[in-house]
Amino acid sequence: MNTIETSSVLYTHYERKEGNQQTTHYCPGCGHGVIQKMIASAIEELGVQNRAIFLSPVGCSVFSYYYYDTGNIQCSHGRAPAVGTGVKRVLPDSVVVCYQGDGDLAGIGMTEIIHAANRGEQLTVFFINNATYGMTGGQMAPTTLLHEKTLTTPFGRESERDGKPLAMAEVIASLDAPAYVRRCAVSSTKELLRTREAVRIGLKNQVDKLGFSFIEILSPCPTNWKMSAVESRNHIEQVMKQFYPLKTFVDKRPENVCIKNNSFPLMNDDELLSLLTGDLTARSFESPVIDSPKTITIAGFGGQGILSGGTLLANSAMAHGLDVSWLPSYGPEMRGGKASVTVIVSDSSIPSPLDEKPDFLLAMNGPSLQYYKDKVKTGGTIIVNSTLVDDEIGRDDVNVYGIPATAMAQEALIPSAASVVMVTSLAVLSEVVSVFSLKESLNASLKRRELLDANMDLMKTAENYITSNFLVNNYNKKV
Amino acid sequence: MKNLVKCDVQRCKGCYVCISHCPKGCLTIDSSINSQGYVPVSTVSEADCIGCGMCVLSCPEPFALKVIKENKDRVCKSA
Amino acid sequence: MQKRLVKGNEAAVLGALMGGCTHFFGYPITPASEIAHAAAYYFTKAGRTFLQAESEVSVINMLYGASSAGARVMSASSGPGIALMGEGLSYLAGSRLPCVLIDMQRAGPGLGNIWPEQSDYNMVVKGGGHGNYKNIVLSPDGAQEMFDFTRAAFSYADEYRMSVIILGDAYIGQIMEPVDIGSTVDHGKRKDWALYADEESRENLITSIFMKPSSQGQHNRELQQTYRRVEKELVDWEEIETEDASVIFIAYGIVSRICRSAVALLRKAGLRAGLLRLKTLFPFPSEAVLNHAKRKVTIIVVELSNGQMCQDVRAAAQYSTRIIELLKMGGEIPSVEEVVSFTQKTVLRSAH
Repeated sequence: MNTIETSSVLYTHYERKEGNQQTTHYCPGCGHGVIQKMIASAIEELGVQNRAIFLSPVGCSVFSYYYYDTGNIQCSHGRAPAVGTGVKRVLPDSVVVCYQGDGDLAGIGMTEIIHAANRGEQLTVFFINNATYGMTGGQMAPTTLLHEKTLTTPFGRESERDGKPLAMAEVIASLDAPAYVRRCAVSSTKELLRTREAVRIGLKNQVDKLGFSFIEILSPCPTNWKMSAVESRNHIEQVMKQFYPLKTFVDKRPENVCIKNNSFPLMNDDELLSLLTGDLTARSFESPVIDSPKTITIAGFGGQGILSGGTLLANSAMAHGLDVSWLPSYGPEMRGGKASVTVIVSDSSIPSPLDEKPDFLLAMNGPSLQYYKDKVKTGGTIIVNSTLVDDEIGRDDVNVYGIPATAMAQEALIPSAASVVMVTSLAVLSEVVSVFSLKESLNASLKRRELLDANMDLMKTAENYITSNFLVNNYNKKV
Repeated sequence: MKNLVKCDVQRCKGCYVCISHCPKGCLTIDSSINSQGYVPVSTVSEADCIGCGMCVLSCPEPFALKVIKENKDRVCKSA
Repeated sequence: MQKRLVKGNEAAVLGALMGGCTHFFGYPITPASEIAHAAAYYFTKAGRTFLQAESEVSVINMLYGASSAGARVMSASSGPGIALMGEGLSYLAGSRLPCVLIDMQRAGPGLGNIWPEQSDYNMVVKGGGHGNYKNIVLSPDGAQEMFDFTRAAFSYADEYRMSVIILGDAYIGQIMEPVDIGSTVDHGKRKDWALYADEESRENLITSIFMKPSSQGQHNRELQQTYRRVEKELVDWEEIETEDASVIFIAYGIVSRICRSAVALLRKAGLRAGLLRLKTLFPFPSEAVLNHAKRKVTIIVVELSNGQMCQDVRAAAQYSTRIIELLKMGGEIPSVEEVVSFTQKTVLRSAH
């Protein structure tokens, strides 16, 4: 015996529902039941019940999970396309039914639907347009027709005050990505058959991975329209269809372009670990003697390699087995040209990483010298970039050295490496880190590895300059 | 055996959309009231059901209606 | 032990990948954008998923969907973005979905500025959205803990089916320190409640709606039981020189490191100072606070807010000792010197 009946993708007994578990919670004549039965049938025909995940919106269909014997997720108002995006990015072979009303999709959830459509997410969206907020009692929806009376437009919707009804299928069709956009209605016999066809196409597109499908369905709400079920269907035929034409706006099925997966292959644990550790080889050197934590502030302007100079110093200290912290100047001022970084090295764990009282100041331009010079500890050291700085220090309780860092870097054709000269000078003049470890750490600290040799030569030049010229205690004499 | 429309009167909410979609006038309003207070539809015995399934397709209530078809070589179909 | 010099923001991403996170949904906001930058690189390269969403509202809902599908998921933002995620956080809690978020706090209210504050404390520690729910809140004090806490967050989230929020600040994100990333990736297990688009999980339902007051009440009571379990099992803090201390700082994040420096200086100057550093904010280390309060030590709460965390300190101390606030707002932070002199003056005052 052959029968035509409701698909078994819907439960026959609604155990999740309280009260009568034989009938739905929908009002008599509601369009939701008609459409949800069609979706269930299509899921059954496509053989994807186990892969199907139904997204319930907020609205009358919030309880769709009472009925669907599929995976179910209840979503917050308007966000089903984002939730569906999340699901599909984890489970590309799932079949996600994104079921949304007009307040949900065209009102609060406009952002989510537009962007999911524009990304061409592999989703099938059913947009149930009954031109009203049903569950909350019948307020104006973005799709409410002009002059239509609702609880919040008691004198009718006015375009001057409320705007005109939103035609969502046309909006979605204006995007390039969607594979299928169609508007249907569950009004007449003819339209019911077309809707059933559209529902099947929309879901099959997802199974075939053809992209984003959007099916708007004009659906009756007899209760809020204050009509009988039959009158409400006539209202769709005679009134709604005038403003919301029923047609297929986009159908890319003939192109049959399966969306390509361009992602990188999934790394296993070993590959992941090597990606995360980078190509750094662990090195350790005998630690130089530092009797207490040392704070080094490197300051200048953007383009002098301030931050990478700090990174070089920090990597080098780390290679000595020291604890180290590196804290840059931060925020919009970075874009204003001022740059500084504070590196602290210590043989024990570092408490405050801030630049309160540096032991060493590497001042790479005049303003930064002025800004930081009085913060340097008594007995501390200031190394200035003598190419750019000839200011008076005005302190006799600190050691001062000058090195033409910018000139040397320019001569080596790597002007952004002026800080390398400064850091090398620090290594020669102090026991914070050794020049050897600086050289060994250079590769790991460079963003542009092709400049390794040039940087290495520059370090040698700086080292020679300091050792041969210097250990003179007044940079002004030198300059 | 003829095609036959069957209504589960306890599930029917009496919206009568099915009646308006039936091309053969097989459905009518019943004289009884179900336990939920709705007056369900019932079938007109003398009518000639062609087994098109439009009543099932148009019905908003799952499992309220089904059509049992006389034609045995057609596959079972859900609507 | 191989260490890498890593910024706090980047360390969080390394921690996430070592913690088995497969999906990162991001939206730019200073000072959290660097986390998204690092995620965009590492997640993509590793064949995981990084997706830039259209808004923070979409981010939290993508997390909701991806978490429903059983994945370990995360995002990062700052105060204004976390505020936008409030509804979604509440939904995650109601639906008992695990999720990991990082909040790199900036100054508010409103657009405020991008300098560090700790003014998201109430929003994040007390919940953030509507309803009776909590998030597990961890507060790292540097790059290593950004890594460690983020890695661990995924197993906490799965274990308790809760959101875990790592509450950082601009400095903790910017600081670069040696980080040990370990060698084991913790992938987590299949979840018996999640949707995998297969027959076994077909019956599963992700929802936060319970129509009957008795059902919603029962659901709420179960959530509270989970929170009590979290309080017992996860509470964590660090004590630094508190044993003989007469003055104890209570702080977290960047401020706790400033206080650590102050403790050392104060001890050199002959004052027995100590530090109670909070590593979990929910659960709040109330017992540790009470123990010290009972000893009648002077508690100094140093905080970058109008005293949001201090309210919890006062509640925990049950008004049994003197609690003084050193508060900064707007992106200002106290110098070590300022904390030291404030403390010395405070102690001097109480001696008279």
